[in-house]
Amino acid sequence: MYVRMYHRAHVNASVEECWGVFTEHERFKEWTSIDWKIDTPGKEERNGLGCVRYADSYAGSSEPAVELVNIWQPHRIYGYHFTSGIPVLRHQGVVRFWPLDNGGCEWVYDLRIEPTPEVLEEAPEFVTDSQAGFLFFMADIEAECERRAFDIDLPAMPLPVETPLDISAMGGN
Amino acid sequence: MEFPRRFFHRAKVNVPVSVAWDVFTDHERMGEYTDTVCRITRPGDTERNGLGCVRLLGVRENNLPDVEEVVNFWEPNKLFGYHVTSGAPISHHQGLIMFHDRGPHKSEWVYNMRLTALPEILEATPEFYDVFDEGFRQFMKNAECECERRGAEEDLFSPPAIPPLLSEQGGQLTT
Repeated sequence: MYVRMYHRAHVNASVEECWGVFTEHERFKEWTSIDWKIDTPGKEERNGLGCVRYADSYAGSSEPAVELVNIWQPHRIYGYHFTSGIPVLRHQGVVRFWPLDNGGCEWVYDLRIEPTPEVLEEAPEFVTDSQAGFLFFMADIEAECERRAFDIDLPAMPLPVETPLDISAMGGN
Repeated sequence: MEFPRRFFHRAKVNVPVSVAWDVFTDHERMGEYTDTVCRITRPGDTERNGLGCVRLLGVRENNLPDVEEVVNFWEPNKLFGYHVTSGAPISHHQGLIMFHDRGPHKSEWVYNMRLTALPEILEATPEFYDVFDEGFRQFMKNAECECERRGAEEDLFSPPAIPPLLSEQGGQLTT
């Protein structure tokens, strides 16, 4: 049983900025709960083709998640493949990028997985949970593209509620 | 610390960016299009609604404490940010709305809010984020509709009467 998860976004950020959001693996922890670390750098670029990244904690899994960058055409197409850590038999994620006339970017995220029969039997909610997590992740990516492209330095993380009202330390004019 | 949850929405509306800006930043008109009453308790430094403005929000007809927020990002027609300072069961918060001019009578806004609920709230109410998300989605619908309403040439309807805040009825503002 294949499951496809798909999202198309038009964002106010350049192709280059969006490409960076997807492919700078070690910056994921700035804007998601995933802390990717690089196990093996790519052949020609650290983040690029052949790069192996891993995360000790991923979607509640007890074992590290490991992925391989297997498609890499800068600012055009990026692909990654899970090699271990999640209960799937097959996996491929592909993201394609196009520039927009207004200076923004359109990207299309196309993810296909084949869950193991065991997980489908033991945790029938695996597919719906994965789809829900995918939608959260898409919101994270869109938001991070917008944040990086903005010409004012915006916080990626929320501020502590106890923050005193010192507006001299706040943004804006 | 619990990882913050993100609430995100993108809208393309048929109004100039200045109209969309007003929907979000004319705080005391919020009650015209939501069930939230908003009062300014401290005006902003250079503009009443602007940077440094402290606003108090309460939802009509519930018994939850009023929430206090401060405007901490303010670039007119471009960027509005606000930060919860008290009254909500959360430890961290930041709301940011980015505005983009898309030509005559067209604009886009991107609402990006992150917050972290208090651990004891999540323990007592595991569905806290889901309930919050439902309210957020409703607020986004309200904001989009209000943009379109204000952009229309006709006066589409009159706002309902606005009741006082809970704290103005003798309730307590939790600090």
